Amino acid sequence: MEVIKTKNLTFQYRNNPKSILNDISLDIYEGDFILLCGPSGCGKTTLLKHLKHLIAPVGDLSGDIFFNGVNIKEVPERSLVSEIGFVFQNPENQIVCDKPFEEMAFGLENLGLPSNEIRRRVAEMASFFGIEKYFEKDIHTLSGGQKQLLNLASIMVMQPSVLLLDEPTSMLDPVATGEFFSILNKINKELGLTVIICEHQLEAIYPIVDKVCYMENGRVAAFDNPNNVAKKIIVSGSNMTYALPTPTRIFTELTRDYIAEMDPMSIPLNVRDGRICLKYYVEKNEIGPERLVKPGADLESLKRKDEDTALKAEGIYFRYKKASPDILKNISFRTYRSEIFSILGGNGVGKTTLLSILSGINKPYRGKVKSLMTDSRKKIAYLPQNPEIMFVKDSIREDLEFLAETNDLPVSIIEETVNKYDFFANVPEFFDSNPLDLSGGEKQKMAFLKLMLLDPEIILLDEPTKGLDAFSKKNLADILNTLTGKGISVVMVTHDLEFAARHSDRCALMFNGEIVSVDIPERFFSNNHFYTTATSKVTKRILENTITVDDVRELMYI
Amino acid sequence: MSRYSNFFGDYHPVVVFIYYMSIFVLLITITHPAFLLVSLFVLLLYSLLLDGIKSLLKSLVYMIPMVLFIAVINPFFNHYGETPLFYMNNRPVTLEALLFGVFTGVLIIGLIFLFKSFSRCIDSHRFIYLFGKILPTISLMITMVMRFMPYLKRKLSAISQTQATLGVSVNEGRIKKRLQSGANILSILISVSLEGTIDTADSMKARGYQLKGKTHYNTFVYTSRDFVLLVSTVILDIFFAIVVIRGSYAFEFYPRLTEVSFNSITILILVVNCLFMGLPIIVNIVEEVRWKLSRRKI
Amino acid sequence: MSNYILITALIALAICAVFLFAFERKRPSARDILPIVIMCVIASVGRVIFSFLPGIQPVTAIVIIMGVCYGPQTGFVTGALCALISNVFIGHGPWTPWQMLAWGLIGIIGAGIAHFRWGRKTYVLAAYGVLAGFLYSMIMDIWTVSTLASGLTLPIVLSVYGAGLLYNIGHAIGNAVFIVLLYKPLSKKLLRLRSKYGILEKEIK
Ligand SMILES: Nc1ncnc2c1ncn2[C@@H]1O[C@H](COP(=O)(O)OP(=O)(O)OP(=O)(O)O)[C@@H](O)[C@H]1O
Ligand SMILES: Nc1ncnc2c1ncn2[C@@H]1O[C@H](COP(=O)(O)OP(=O)(O)OP(=O)(O)O)[C@@H](O)[C@H]1O
Ligand SMILES: [Mg+2]
Ligand SMILES: [Mg+2]
Repeated sequence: MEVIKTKNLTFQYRNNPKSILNDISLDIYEGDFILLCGPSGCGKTTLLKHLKHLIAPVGDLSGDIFFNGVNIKEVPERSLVSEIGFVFQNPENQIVCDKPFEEMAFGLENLGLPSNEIRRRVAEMASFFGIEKYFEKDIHTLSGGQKQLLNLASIMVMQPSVLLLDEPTSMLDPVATGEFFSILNKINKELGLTVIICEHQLEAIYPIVDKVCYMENGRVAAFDNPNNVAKKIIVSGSNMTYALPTPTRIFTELTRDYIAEMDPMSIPLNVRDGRICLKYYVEKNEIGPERLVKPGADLESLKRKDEDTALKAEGIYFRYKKASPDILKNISFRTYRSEIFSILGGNGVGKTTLLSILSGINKPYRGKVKSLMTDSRKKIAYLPQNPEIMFVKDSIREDLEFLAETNDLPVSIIEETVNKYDFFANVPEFFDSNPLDLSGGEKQKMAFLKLMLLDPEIILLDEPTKGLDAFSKKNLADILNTLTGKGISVVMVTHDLEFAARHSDRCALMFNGEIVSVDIPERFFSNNHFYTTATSKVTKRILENTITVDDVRELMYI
Repeated sequence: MSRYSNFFGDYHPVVVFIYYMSIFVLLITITHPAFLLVSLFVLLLYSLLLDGIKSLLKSLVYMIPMVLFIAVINPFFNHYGETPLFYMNNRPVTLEALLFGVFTGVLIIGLIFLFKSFSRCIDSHRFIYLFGKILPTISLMITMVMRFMPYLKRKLSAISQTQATLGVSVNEGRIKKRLQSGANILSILISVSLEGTIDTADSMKARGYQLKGKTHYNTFVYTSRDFVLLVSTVILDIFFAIVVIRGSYAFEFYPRLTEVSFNSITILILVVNCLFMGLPIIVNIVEEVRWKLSRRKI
Repeated sequence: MSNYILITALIALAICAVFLFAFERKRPSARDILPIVIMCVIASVGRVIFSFLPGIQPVTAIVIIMGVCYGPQTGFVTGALCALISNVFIGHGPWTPWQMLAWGLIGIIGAGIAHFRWGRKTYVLAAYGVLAGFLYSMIMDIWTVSTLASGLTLPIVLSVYGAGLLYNIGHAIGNAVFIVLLYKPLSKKLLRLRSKYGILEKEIK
């Protein structure tokens, strides 16, 4: 029997003329592991919230949802609470308590479990997710990723039978993401939990799910096994192609001309299958050894001159409180004009803290940050990890106009900027919305638009690709490249290794408050084992120096 | 004694609550100056032990004007009493009324310190434990307000820092612009936190906050020492109830001050009073000593 | 004699309790209570910040606005909680129940005024703010008089009022100013939230 069944679900928010869900009918069976994907703003969050009836958004709804065969409106609250677990998109706002252990116990207390049972479950789950380290810390001192893990743990501890996850790994580092997905996989396979997960970052999750539900404009465009959906997406040539896992995309590149006739099951989704296909391709086409090595970058030509320095950090030390340990230790580096500098590293190593120092928000207690731009007006723009706090007014239009006004810019600049870049293509649609009504990805876009209007010389971005669909990411990269072409320096913190590999000029790895290595992406990623791109994993020992799909394409099609 | 350890707060919240209620009722019913002075002394001592001299002086500085105000104002409105100090508009300003004013002021100080020490023993967790059954929503709201205070403060600084990079700053520009920036920042703070609370509310609802029959992660185990405290409280309550009923310790301000005499009974009452008010201090000292001893054995 | 303090405090507390229990009985959802929590935080912090100015603080204005936008019960609870919470920093005492009651009633009356169309105009509410300042002191002075304990005679009451006049004028003017400043932007946010998330759907149509 279906655990969850939706029948012709149609939904519209009251203050939004657009219909957000259109005629959605899904059958979800017990033990299914389902990926919900689609472009930003297609209604994933909205759909997911309807499935956990208690938090369904307010608006005009038609159609029905059944939970274990019963209309969800008639299911008692207690079983909705204990049976369906929901993890929200924004990790900050769903926290109710002060301390991680209280937070984890919250649901269990409400369900009325005996206290020793609560303690046992909390202890088990905390050690499972590695939360012991900050079990009794104040929650507000945790990093974004740590909060997200805690949220997952506080849902898992309630042992639900259906798990709904809204971009649960958007702020986790790649290692933690991988671990998290393998935990999910284990929970699904061993305990038979039904899991529905929304994601933009499909790399790691796509190969392990049973079914993919691909949404577009509030409709289900495809609901099938991953291979069929992958083929459908590839054949349709939609923008979603960019989101598919790297092995699939490499395979698509290799079989471009005849993929339409291929059996969907032969499309590789994971690294192992991708390697097999690549090897087979190389052998079958008798590609000579000279075409297997991408020529290394010319390091000499990449050397930058001192006068091109944009930001210079010298021996920075920082701590939040006098009595607390150092978060940043002896950090020194430079960024140059026309360069995208990416900072990578695990959760809680201090990346956000470092950006806050570069932007001048926090002051180091030792060391200095120098900005060596010619224009003496300080022009550093900063995109915080949580972009909500960038909006001042009640509508996007007013907000943008206000920004122009406060910074003595002509209002026409808004239209110019929006029209100049593809990234902002659908932005005018939202001009009259309240910034706080936008979906996660849309907020991110608007916040970035605000930065662009300021015409900065240095841009600091904290996880800019979080919540963006693959196509928007590509457009974002285009903007960044245009900007660096104009001599602007971009520093970004990201967990998106593919994005960093593809678009940055240099990458830095942070560990425990220190920068442990800085290098060009090619060398940076081919030297790492875990902190490396999927392409590099697929091509290891077959091709050399290839870290992005583009690299592979270049090599294979000379 | 270390400043932050308060062993008395480790007792079972219900027992601690009963203890404080008894003290509250006693302070308000027994209108004897000696009783009040002794009580005040012990309460101040406890506050001194918990928070240190600085904090104590600070709160006293804040309170003394109030006592003076009440003390001075009472005799002008209140013309009972037999010992006129002087006349105003042909009406006597009496010593009794003055002293009654002082008495009321001191009582209020005592009550303030009592609330203070009460709130040091009953944290949000215990608060919910005590009142969660009777007023579940209100007690949850109270603890949430306490939680959101530092949260909003942090949010405010994040917002003003981020907005400063967008040209909205209270530290730059002309005074009008600064004021506008301040208003804008406040407006974002309210919008974002109101909006953010909806997620918080949903997250609470999704995890069943409205279900009946809550339990607690930290249950408060009722042990023998709680029993001892409870029994002592009850015995002392009975003792004072007898004192009040027999009237042997009554004090009247009007028409004339009752004479305060010190005999063996009143001394006994004062000593018991000291003991009762000082229970938290005694507990803390005993536990401290016990802890030191246990360290020595290691 | 000083039993008056106890008795009057208990009376005020009992009245508050009636209202609070009525609120509990509704089993308000999390979405209904969290806006109150946030506004209480802002009002209480405001009260502490402004405590150096006699009588001037944003609590009364915010309580009125909450009553106007979210109805009488929310108004009362906001007022009562603001008193309870801000006194943690300013000083709890036997007057706390009175303050809870006073602010709570001000919220209820605010909701009543907003029932009429004309009652939602800024200047009407500002005028009510001035009145509310005096209403507040009237209720609080019952407490003051009860500590003096010589019965309620007219001259006593009048002189108590006279003594607090500066404070009351500050309070009344402060209310009007805060309402003029806050009413438009705040009510816009609160009403938006209400329609977007269906807060208090059942009560207010
Ligand atoms: N409360 C609301 N009122 C009005 N419109 C809304 C509201 N919430 C979301 N929307 C709109 O509904 C659409 C779908 O939003 P939703 O949050 O479901 O998108 P999503 O698929 O989760 O996107 P993302 O991947 O960016 O999180 C968006 O266009 C958004 O602007
Ligand atoms: N306001 C604060 N007060 C005290 N400690 C803090 C504060 N903010 C962050 N920390 C601590 O500083 C460390 C670094 O936090 P930071 O937010 O810079 O991490 P991050 O590298 O950005 O992690 P993530 O990738 O998860 O966002 C963490 O251990 C965190 O607990
Ligand atoms: Mg979403
Ligand atoms: Mg971070």
